[in-house]
Amino acid sequence: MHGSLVLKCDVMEYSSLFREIADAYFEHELYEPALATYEELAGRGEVSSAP
Amino acid sequence: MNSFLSILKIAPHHIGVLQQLAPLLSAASEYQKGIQVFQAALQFYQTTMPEGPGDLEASDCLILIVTLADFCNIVGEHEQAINAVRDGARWLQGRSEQRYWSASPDDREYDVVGFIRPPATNELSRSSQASHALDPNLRHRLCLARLALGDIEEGQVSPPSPHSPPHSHKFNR
Repeated sequence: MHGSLVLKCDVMEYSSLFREIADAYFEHELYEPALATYEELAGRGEVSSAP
Repeated sequence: MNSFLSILKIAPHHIGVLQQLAPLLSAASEYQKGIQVFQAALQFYQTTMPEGPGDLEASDCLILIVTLADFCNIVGEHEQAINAVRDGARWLQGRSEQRYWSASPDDREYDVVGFIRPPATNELSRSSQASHALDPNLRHRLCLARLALGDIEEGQVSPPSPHSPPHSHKFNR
């Protein structure tokens, strides 16, 4: 429950929380929500570490 | 770091000193020490000001709770992190007397409106579910603790009909 609620916040304002939650999802093999969260981060160039 | 710890002996639980100390404790991997001093500070403030933070800045108190939860999660004390968040948020909201929530094995105290759970089976029957606001930073720590404990549903699953977004403070660390 908690992860999905945090992810309803503004990704720009809470990008570090998004990233940590995505990492936690990945670590616990929750690949689908992890990927969705990574994609949301990547979709915002300002908060993405991608070149 | 030792200088700040020495100051705490003169000015116990000083929030400004604790905030300076936190990154130093992290850098030195002194997480248990961090748990010790931050837990003691929160217990002090929650005991001496049971009605809520009072004259203290709510954002400063939020940082204390978040930092304690972070230290607890780092060392694997996830239950302590959960208790710190739930008890701490309750205190911030001036509901310290509602100690019966601490007996709940899940986080139904901070559900959102429209999220349906099975009825409580213990002493929480007097108030089996609530939708108290929870700062995203605190909910984030609950999420990480629940996932680490293998409580995937509590940590991740979407509520069926979230009618309102979570309460949002502008505090992001």
